[in-house]
Amino acid sequence: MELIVLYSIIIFSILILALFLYLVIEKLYDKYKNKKKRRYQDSIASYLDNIVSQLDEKDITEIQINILSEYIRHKIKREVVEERMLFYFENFKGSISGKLTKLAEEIGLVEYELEKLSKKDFHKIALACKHLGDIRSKKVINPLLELIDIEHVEIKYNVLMALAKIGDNEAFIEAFKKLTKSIPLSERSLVEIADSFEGDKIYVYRNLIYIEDEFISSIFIKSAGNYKDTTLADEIAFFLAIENKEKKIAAMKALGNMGDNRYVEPIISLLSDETWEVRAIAAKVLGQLQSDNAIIPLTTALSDREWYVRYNAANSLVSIEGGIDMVYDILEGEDRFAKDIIVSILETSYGWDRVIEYDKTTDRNPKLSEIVKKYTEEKDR
Amino acid sequence: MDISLLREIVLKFNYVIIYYVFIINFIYFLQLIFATFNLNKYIRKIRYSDYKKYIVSDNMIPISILVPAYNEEETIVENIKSLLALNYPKFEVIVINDGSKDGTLNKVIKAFDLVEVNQPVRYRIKTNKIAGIYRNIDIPNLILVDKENGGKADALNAGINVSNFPVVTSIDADSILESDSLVRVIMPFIEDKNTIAVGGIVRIANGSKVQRGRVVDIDLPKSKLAMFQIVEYLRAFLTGRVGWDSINALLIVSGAFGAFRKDAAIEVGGYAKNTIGEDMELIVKLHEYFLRIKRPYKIKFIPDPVCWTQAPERLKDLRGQRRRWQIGLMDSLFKHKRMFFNPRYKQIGLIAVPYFWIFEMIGPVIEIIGYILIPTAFFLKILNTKYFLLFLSSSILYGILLSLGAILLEEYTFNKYPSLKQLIKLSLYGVIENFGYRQLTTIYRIEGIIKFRKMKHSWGKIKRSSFDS
Repeated sequence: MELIVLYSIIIFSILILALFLYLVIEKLYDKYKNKKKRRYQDSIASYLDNIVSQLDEKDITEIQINILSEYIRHKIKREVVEERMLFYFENFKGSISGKLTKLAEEIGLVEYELEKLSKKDFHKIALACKHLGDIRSKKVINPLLELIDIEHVEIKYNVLMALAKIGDNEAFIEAFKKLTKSIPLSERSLVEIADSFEGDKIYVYRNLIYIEDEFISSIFIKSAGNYKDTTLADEIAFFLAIENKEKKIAAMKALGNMGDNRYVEPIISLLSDETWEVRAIAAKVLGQLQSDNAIIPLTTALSDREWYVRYNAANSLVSIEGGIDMVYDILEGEDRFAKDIIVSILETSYGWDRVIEYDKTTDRNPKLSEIVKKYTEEKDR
Repeated sequence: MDISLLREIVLKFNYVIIYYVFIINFIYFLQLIFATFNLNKYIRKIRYSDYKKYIVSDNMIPISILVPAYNEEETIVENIKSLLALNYPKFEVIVINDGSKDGTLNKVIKAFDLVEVNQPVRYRIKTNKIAGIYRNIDIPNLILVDKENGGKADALNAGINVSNFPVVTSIDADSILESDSLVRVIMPFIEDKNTIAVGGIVRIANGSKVQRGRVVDIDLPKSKLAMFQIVEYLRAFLTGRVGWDSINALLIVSGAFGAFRKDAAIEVGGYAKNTIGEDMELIVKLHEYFLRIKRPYKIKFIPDPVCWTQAPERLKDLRGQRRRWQIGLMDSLFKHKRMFFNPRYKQIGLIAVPYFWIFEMIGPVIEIIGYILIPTAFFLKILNTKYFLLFLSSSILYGILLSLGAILLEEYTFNKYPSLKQLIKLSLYGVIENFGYRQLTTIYRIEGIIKFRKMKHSWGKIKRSSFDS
């Protein structure tokens, strides 16, 4: 036993010492590298800046490409070039972006990142995917697609995001068709990827909203809503009438985001859907669509058995022009739940502003603010 | 009884203690090694993380920040101000006054010009009565809930009931968050849909300069007691939590800062009332529930320094804190004793829970017996010098190595104490904490064991001063 303790202490002391040495060596190396980098930084950055500033006017020369390719072969110089290039990609949009991509391809930067995709270290692969996405070279589409089957969440995310930035329609569609519901990425991250797509979004949405997988389909329906192009509204409205709850909810959210109020009636009918989640979203979306036709159905929805439906209906009712008129009737009614929920909304910052505005613009007596206050006082008693 | 037999028994018992101390330290070392790999992975991951992109995205998950407050009049207002200034697209701050006896409620109402509103509450988790909800129409993302005293867990549950967003995060009223802490803590939820809880690292703010609810200049404290705790926290979080996270067996998400998917928390009935270790209890409950129903889930730990707290600078407060921690730990372990060595609960039942039973719960008793019995046996010449030295090296030398390891990890990763002077001071305290401080906290934990039955339902308090310096 004593030998085990002795050996373990020796081993662990060596480990700690090794860790400490590693730390010191790494810090020294970083210091050395940064010093060298700083030396190269000014000359390389200004050389690149000079080339990039003239990219719109003249083509890059063979000599310039050779010089930059030489930099790419040198470890520290390559880091400087890559950092600078990624900075351009992040900040320069429009036609210059394509020229930057071509430049990155010609100097061998894309090739260098592509090599990293075959490494075993998944951190290196994920980082390379991110860089390749930023560079937006179409040359890397196939290698990226080959990675989509790797069961690693960071790689999957970065591959999809890279494909979104590259913006190739068919590749993006193919990548998402390969995914299944079991993909570990959250819905929000996938919607973010779909929103970030830089190709023909309408084409992609038309291809992916109809696929059988409800998870992927819903993501693209929602993303289409975020895109706010009403040319897709008819196609999205089709999902209001189908059985699938997820797609129905996604379609309502999308139409609400688009603000296209041609579909108010079918959404109103969903206020009586058997699923409470559908009813709650219908109530919320009707507020976004701002249609007078929704006032009476929303007032009825204040008596729904589900709290969220009542809450969303009350919010929407207060937001719709003319909806606040109904508060008098609601407070005179018998339904305590309806009264409580509408008063709770009127007491929020937004709701109370609406009450004050209403009192200022109408001569109705007693004032709405008085009615609400009276109700809360009676309730408190 | 024959005297030689007695000697034999004492000797055997001494050996058991020596082996026990050796094994526990060996496990700590394994944790340190796992943590090193895990931290390295995390640091590398930050390089390709898209978290900055999400700061301005509509697809970011909105968060409800729950701030339970009981007699927190000293710090509550500045704490709320710093929370309202956080860098995050959509969040609400819900302060729950758990029937404070001091001026907490009035201070908050006055500072933020709040008025009582009739907001209906959906009691998805049963709690004590909510006496009132207060808001200010100009600060729409601040909600003050005033409720009957029911303990911290009850306050948190009330906050969950009032919250509007899918992820809730609990933060102690005396803690300070880094400005992008919410973004960092939410990323595991964005990256993986199976994530149900995320814990963040808690750092000690004593000695650092705090202005308007922000830590603006990180430094080490003058107080020796706080210095010991800095080393202790580094060891607990950077090796302990990160180590457990590497094998997906995290049992504790600190109450000072943790985020949960609201639906998951509600599904398990929220925070358990009548316990002072509600943070650990919720995590163990989530593990047990999700493993029992065989639903995939993840409980993650992010090692970024995201939350700052005040460490007690008085022995009395430290004593109370350690007693509470021990009681909370025991309470949770007793409540979930069915998980102990139960293969149904996978690595949680087979590794994490047994470890906490054998080493964290019983550990202080064995350790203190060792400190008394082994030197006594040595001086009475029952134990020879070799075994006596073995015990000392197992407990003291190992402890020093572990502390130094944790300090090195900090320097290697986040490097919040970058100067050589700070490194030397930390290392020095990493050595001397093993000669008195560690033993003292062990005694406090034993006190917790003794007072377990009496104190397991109380809200513990530490006297804190205002952060702003």
